[in-house]
Formats: sequence, C-alpha cells, structure tokens
Amino acid sequence: MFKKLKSLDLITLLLFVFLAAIPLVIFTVKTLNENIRLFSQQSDTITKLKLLDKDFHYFASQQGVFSNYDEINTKIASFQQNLTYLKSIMEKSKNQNYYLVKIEKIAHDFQRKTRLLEKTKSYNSIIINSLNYLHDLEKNIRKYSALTDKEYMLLDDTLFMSLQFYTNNTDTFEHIKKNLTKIKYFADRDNDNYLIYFYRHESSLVKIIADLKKEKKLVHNLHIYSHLDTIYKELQKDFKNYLFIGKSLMITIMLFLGSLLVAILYLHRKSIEQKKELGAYKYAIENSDNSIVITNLNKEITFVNEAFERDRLYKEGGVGTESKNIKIKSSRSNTLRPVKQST
Amino acid sequence: MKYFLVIFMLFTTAYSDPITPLPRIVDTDPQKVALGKDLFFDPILSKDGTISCATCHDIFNGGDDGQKVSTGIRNQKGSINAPTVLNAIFNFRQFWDGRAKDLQEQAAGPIENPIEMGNSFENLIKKLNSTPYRDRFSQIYKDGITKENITDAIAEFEKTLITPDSPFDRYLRGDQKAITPEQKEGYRLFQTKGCIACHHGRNVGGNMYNKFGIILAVKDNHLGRYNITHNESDKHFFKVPSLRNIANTAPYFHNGSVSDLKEAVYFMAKHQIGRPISEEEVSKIVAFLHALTGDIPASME
Repeated sequence: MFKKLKSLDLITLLLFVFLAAIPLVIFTVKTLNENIRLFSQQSDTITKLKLLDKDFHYFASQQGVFSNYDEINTKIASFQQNLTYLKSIMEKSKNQNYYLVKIEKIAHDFQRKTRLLEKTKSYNSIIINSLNYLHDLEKNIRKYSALTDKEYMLLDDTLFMSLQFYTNNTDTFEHIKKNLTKIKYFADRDNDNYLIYFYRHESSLVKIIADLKKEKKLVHNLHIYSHLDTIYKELQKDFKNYLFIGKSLMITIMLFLGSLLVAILYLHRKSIEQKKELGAYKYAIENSDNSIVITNLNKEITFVNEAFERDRLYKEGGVGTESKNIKIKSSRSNTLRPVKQST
Repeated sequence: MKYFLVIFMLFTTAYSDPITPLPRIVDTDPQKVALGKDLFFDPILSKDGTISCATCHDIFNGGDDGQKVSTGIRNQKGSINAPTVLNAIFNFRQFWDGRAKDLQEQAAGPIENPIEMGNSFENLIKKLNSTPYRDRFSQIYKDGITKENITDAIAEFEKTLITPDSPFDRYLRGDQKAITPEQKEGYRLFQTKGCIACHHGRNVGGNMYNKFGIILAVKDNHLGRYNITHNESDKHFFKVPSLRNIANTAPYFHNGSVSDLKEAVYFMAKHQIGRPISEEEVSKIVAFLHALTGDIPASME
C-alpha cells in the first residue's frame, strides 16, 4: 500500500487530498447552514413569544375595553405551542441546560400570567356590563328619583370615584364604601328600584375592581419578557461565537484548498514544461546521426533511432531483440525515463 | 364627570364582531373519526357495558341528556349537569370547571369516573383487545390500543360534532332574511342588556370563566373552578357555557336548576347582569336564542 502510494506522483497525490477535502467542505457548509437555520427558528420563536407577551400585557392593562375573547384565547394557545416548540429546538443548542432552566421559569410565570388573563377576562366583562348599566341608571335616577341635589351629587361622586379607582391607582375604595352605605340608606328609605340597582352594581363593581387589582398584585413580578430577552441575548452571543469559529474553520479550509490548488497548478505547469523538454530530447535522439539503442533491464532493445537502423549494426536485430553485447548503462537520468516508457 | 363617563362608555362599547359565524369544517382524520364514532356510541367503554358517551350526549337532541344531572353505571346520579358535546371543540377549556384543556383530555374523564362509566383504562384496553377494535386500532395507530389512542379517536370524532349554518350564522354571513325581525330585536337586546359581555365569540360563550351570581349571590353548593385551583377568588366560577343550540339543551346551568329557557333568561338578568327585564324583552331574547340552533352535524347524517 505504502509502495503504491510512493509510486503515485505528487500531482495525483495532491489531487487525491483535494478531492478528499471536498466532502469536509460540504459537511462544514451544511452544518453551518443547519445552525443558521436553527438560530433563525429559535430567534423567530422568541420574537413571537415576546410579541404575544406584549399582547397579554396590553390585554391585562386595558381599561374596560370589550373584545372578543376568542382572540386572546388563540394567543394563549399559541404561546403555549410556541413555548413547547422553543423547548424542543433549544434542546439542540450547545448550552441547552441553561436555556431549558430559563424556559421552565417562563412556563411557570406563564401559568401565573394565564391566571391573570383569565381573571381579567371575567372581571372585564363584569366591569363593562356594570359601567354601561350605571350610566343608564344615572340618567333614570336623575329623571325619576326623588333625591335632593346633595344626594344626587353623592351618587355622581361615587360613580366618578369608581371610575378613578378603575382607571388609576387612586385608592378611593374606603371612600366609595362609605358612600355606598348612604346610597343603600336612600334606596331603602325611598324604596326606589333604580337606587337599589345602582347600589347593587356599584357594590359589585367596586368589589370586582378591588379583586382585579389584588390579582394584578399577585402576579406583578412576572419576568416572561425579560427571560425571553435574556435567552435571546445569550443565544445571539453563542451564535456569534459559533459563527466566528465556523467562519474561521471555513477560511482555514478554503486557504488549505486554495494552497492545494496552487500547488497542483504549479506542478502541472512544471510537468508540461518537462514534457516539452523531453520532447526536445526525444527529437534530438531520434534525429541524431549517432546510433542510439535503449534496452530494458532484460537487455531487450526497447528503442533504436533512425541512425541505428540506417547503419544496420544489427541486421537481424531491432526492437525486442536481446542485446547480449550491449552493455546497459543504468539510466540515472530522470529525463530518460519518460522516453523509455513512451517507447 | 359626564363627559368623562361618555368617553369611557364609547371605549367600552366600541367593539365589533362580538359574535362570529361557526366555521363550516374542522380538519379531521376520517379513519380516526370513524373509529371514534364507534367508540362514542359503544357502551363497552363502561365497566358494566351499560353506558356510552352517547348516553349523556345525545347528538340528535342538543348534545346532552336533558337531565338535571346525568345517570351513570348502576343508576348512580352525577353531581353536575352534562354539558353539550356539540361545538365543544370551540370551547377554550372542557368541563364546567375547565379542568380539561382539550377534548382528548376531557374524553378520559368520564371513562374513569366511578359514578359515570366506572372503568379503568387497563381493563378497557384488555377488553378492547379481544374485539375487532384491535385490528382497527392497529391500522391507524402503530402502538395499537392505548389510553392516548382511545381518547384521541373519540376526540377526533367529537371535533366533527359542529352545527354550523344556524339562522344566526347565515345572518352574520350577510343573509338579512335568515332571522326574523323579532330575533334581530332580540339580538339587539342581547347586546344592550349586557349578555354579550360574557356570551360572545364564535361559540357565543365557552371562551371564559365567570362567577355564578355576579350581582345577586346564588345559593349553590358547587364551588366550580375553586375545586381545581383552591384559590378563594375562584369560588363559584364556572366556564361560561356556549349558547349555541341552547333551545335544545335544557335544563340549564351547571346544576340544571332551570328547565325553561325564558326562566333561564330571567334568572340571568337578575343574578348575572343585575338588570330589570320585561316579559317582552325576554321573549325577544329567547327568539334570538332559537336562531342559534344549527343543523345536525354532517358526520351524523
């Protein structure tokens, strides 16, 4: 085997190395591509999750706006699916343990956030309903109830404070509760249905707003977005490092292949020059006035030039004849070797 | 103050498309649907072979059993009203307390519930393996009969139990004559009275939880979602039921306490939305609710 390799000329050997390196290049490019695609999937999924989290934040903080809850439910389901998908693609990452711990934290926070979203849906419906109705009631009370201006102002004030309590963080809860006791007294005193409904809705509304605020406090320290952001930054850092190593590897391989190619071209050019040189020698030998005979190691004539044939030193001899009288000079010159071979 | 309130009201009422039409088709695997359909109607699922899914979910009569609470094996009475299986695919969670995230998770519940089918999956799988179901499962699922595959097939069939093209769906799609003027007025009242705040979306409900007895408390032993979360604030919270095919799903509410639709609307007006409502208004809302009755699912024809 070694002998065989030794018998290979340098160009063939270099060509062999060049060809052998091509699958390595393909493998490296493929791996790079796969990792770029993986990074793209990971960052896309993280971006989707971040956007969904923004939507959840917006939904939970919106003030009394009616929306079709099918939309938020679809988003909650989508977040869950994307998080599961992110987990599966993060398992292919280099620092998978670090990422999986973060994803677990996100999943835990998301459960708590879902609870807040569910409560927001429930309470939001009640608040919208009560606020709309209280608006109608207020008009009817003004029209039909026998309240004094001062009493009516109390109703007005209560409703306004409820709105403040809902839209701002102003803690008017205790004040509203005091007002509600007075409203209950007016309702019982006048046996006024409008006032009874007003009292019921106001009481329910304020309690619901307080509960919603409590729910929001319970889940105030959720870090879904920041966890996602951290994962994204770490991922980017890892990817940049990977890309640097990948690029360096590719440059090294390309430089190596380039050098191989240059060497092959150089040797090929040199070989052409040698061929030309040998051609000249061959011409000189063939057309020499001196008789020239070349034999192989078995003393068989392998080449005679025209002068030899002309002189007929061996009338019956010629190519293939055993040459007993001719001393074979061991041809040390490399340049003769191709001539022997060519004849 | 007044202007502030008016602006606030504009925000709260500036909604569009509160109810959307039901999709006409849900993507399913026909082989699994056929297998799931047979399982759904087969009492083999229960321990003593007397109760099938269809016992409590009569697809031709509203998708429930018309009883206050369902009857399981050995005539045992359940503790809650069977919800309709029709359009259940469009609910955001399953069961009144929302303990199952999807139809597949739901399908496993009654089989192992001691007062419903009282079976175990170990026993059921053994039994099914001695029937032609064995080959049918093998043709669809590589791992044959498993808990996962049984519930998957049933859930796949349940996905087909949709009732699109109700008169109201046709109205939403632009056919102005699909519902009567009385029903149109009923829909307007349904919105202005506040029913829509909870009953909206494609399933006219089924997309949120809410408290039973928001404005006026209701005496009720069911704690609802609290049984799952053990959070005090979840007491008496239930999944808001879908109003699709409501005219055919009496008795109403999780406790089946009201058997008449008009009475149910009165009850809701009083306890949930806390508003007075006239008899005429109730009649119009009930007329609108009748427009939510769709066709028998195509997979049952």
